Amino acid sequence: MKAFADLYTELEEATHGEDKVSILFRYFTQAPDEDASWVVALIKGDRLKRSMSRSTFLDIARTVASLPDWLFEASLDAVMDQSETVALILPEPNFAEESTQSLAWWIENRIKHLPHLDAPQKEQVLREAWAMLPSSQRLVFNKLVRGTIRLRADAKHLISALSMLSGVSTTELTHRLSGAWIPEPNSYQALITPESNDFLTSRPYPFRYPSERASDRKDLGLVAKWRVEWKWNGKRAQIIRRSGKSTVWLKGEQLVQDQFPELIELGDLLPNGCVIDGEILAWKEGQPESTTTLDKRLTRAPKPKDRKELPITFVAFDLLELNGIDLRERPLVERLSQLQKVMDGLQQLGADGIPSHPGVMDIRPNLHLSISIGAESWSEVSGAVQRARDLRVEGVIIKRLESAYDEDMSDWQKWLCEPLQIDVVLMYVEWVGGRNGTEECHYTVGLWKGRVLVPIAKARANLSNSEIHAINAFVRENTLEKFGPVRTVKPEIVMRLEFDAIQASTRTKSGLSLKGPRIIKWHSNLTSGDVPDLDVLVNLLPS
Amino acid sequence: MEELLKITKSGLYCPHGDFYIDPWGKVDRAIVTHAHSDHARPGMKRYLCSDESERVLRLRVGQNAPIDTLPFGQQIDINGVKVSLHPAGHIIGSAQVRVEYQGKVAVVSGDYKTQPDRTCTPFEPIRCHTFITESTFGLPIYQWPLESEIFSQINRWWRQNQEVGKTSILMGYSLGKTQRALSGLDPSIGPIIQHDAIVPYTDAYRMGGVDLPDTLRFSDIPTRFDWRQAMIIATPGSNAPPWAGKVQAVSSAFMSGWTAVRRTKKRGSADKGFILSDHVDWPSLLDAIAETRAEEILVTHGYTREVVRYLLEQGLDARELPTHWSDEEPKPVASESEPADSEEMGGPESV
Ligand SMILES: [Zn+2]
Ligand SMILES: [Zn+2]
Repeated sequence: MKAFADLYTELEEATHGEDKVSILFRYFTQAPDEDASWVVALIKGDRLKRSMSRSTFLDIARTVASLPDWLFEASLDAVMDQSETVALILPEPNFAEESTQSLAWWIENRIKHLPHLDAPQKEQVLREAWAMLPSSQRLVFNKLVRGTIRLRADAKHLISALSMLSGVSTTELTHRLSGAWIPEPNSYQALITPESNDFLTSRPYPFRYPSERASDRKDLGLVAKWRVEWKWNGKRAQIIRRSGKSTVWLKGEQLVQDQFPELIELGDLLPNGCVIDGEILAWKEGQPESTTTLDKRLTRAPKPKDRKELPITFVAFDLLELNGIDLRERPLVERLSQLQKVMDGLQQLGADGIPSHPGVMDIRPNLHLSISIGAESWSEVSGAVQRARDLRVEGVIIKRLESAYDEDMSDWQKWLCEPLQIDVVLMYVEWVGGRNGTEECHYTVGLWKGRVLVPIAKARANLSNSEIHAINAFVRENTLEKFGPVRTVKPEIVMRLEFDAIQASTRTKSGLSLKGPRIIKWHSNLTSGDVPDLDVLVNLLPS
Repeated sequence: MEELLKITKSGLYCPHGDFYIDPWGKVDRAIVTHAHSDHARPGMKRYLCSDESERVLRLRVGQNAPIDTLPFGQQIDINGVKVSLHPAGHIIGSAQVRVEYQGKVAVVSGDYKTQPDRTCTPFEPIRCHTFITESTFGLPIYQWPLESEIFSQINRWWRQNQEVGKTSILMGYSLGKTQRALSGLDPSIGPIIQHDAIVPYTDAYRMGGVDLPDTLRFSDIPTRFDWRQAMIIATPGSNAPPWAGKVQAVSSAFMSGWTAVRRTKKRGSADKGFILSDHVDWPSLLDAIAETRAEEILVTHGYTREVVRYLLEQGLDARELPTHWSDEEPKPVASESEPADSEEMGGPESV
């Protein structure tokens, strides 16, 4: 337990990530597997459950310490941490009585039993531990008992340290560590065994991204040479089926199978050696939902009700590997026809009768295939871009049918719809400081709802320095109220706000959330009376 | 009968002997327990201290100050009051002052510790009627680890820093703490460099016969020097330390009893804390008080209220003695960046 107590303290003291990595590295080089396995569990965040309530713990501590109650309380006040106070106020054990048991021994043979013991037995276990452990080890013991232990390192530090130690790549370790972790010696051995068969790599291919829309349309040639699809506003992902195991990766080599068990179930239906590229979307009744819904799903492994209330789908649009063969050099048109065949194999008949978004074909629950928008001329493509917002997509994406899945940017382009604009009133200004002595502010702007102004967005200003100066001078003269760095301003300044998308939100006063808001113009000739009602914005919501 | 010792506006005063002990006002005759600035102030007409304390006291109150000295244990008479000095084990030359008048004995302990420390003469318990004790660390949460354990922690930290190419910077109070730290460093690990501000005190210790490992003075270091092996001993709180710019990667540590509690561990920019204190911890405080067999305990600087209440409940006659003395390393404010674990703060909890 001493090595673990030292680890706890050193991680708490270290302020730099690289130091945390070398501290962990040093720990793992000497730790027995059973302890190392527990440390992995604790850093992964699989907290040990509380084995004793605070009141029971403190009652036993008061009895053992046999100090006047007021002095015990004064000690708690000075330390402000119960586990630590109890670790400090008891006498140090004699050297001969000091415990040499491991972290795993204390957890498996003492702490885990505590919940099943009666009161006198509980007291006996704590007495024994406190008499055998020096103060720094008592601290971690108490925190383990109370379920409040937190090692100040994250999975990244852990993975770097284990990679240095084992030679296994960080990507591989990320993969091996995904999912549930059983804190046993075998788990740790398997984790650091170089490229063991249990964990055949299942790395994603590097994602291919579209470039911005090229200004020159002449080079595009005939529209028939291109695949034109909607540009979805979700999370780009690859579903991988290899060696009988399914994984889901986001860009940045982020594994998300815990968050999306639906997609693992889909992956399990794929033939071995298959990689599908696509996008994860929050999806309800055949339509894409706002990204905030998807963000909720990304933060945690779903409870059963989350799967029902925050449903998602995978919109497939490319096939990168089939039967273990890398297809990326094959032309898109060929990959698409193979993808169609894979989808045909998964097709589940008997749709629920709700017409889906026109950009997809229903395959089965949680799976859609992105289809061509069927434009026959470039002007039809441009027209589609205009309609994109109504269809809850960002625009269109065009891909040359002959193109390989490689780095050539010009073969994939995204055409995004024009930003939206509205005139708004300045309500609050927040000074956030600025680099090089410039004034940098966040402007909260709003619209009328009857006679009240309702804030709709907080934005930066893309204005000239002299305009910003003039506005800030007005703000200083016309501050109604100051709260920290935020000033409430007399609502007289009218500005033009630009944004990329709008969606409903339950978190804002206006009930709306704007994507990418920025101020692009100061209407020095307009007054707050010229600004429209909030309804104008509400009407922009996709139906 | 008039009290043997009493608090006046200039400090703790003995009316029969007409002298002060560690006064904060300017007085004619001052007996000084030790050379820390809260106890030894300049400007007295005449000083008395232990002979082991003289050199460091001169560094504090002036080379030509009128200082009388007394060996430990030797008694003198001041206006009919018997006065002797006895080791307090706090820093070099630190003394308890024993005063006796008409059979009544009072002992002023100054700052003291009972832990071993080979840089000063160890504390001796003195029987008395009235014992005046400090209470800097007068809560049961303060129980010092063995000095040998702390020294091996420091040496291990130094080696680990070397392994990753970092210079070690060990910070502590310039008089006492840093010399004690020096006495525990293993010079075979690498070069030990002293910040210039510490050098005169360390020299005084060496002249007083304390054996300390060889050190280099910071300003004497040649331009080409392998700092990564080095241990720099310094005082905390210098905003622009002289090594800034010269030394690349550093790991710094602060030595104090306050580092025993996690929320008061971090001091300034220090990365680490070592629990090395020159004051009594809770168990030693109670032991020291018991050994004096004093009938009356007067408690000064620190957790006075708590210590007095505890002693009263133990059946002893105790009260607070308000002085201007303080710990030479004032208690740091708790760091805000590293709060204790939230579950530990005592919020509501279901059982
Ligand atoms: Zn002192
Ligand atoms: Zn003091």
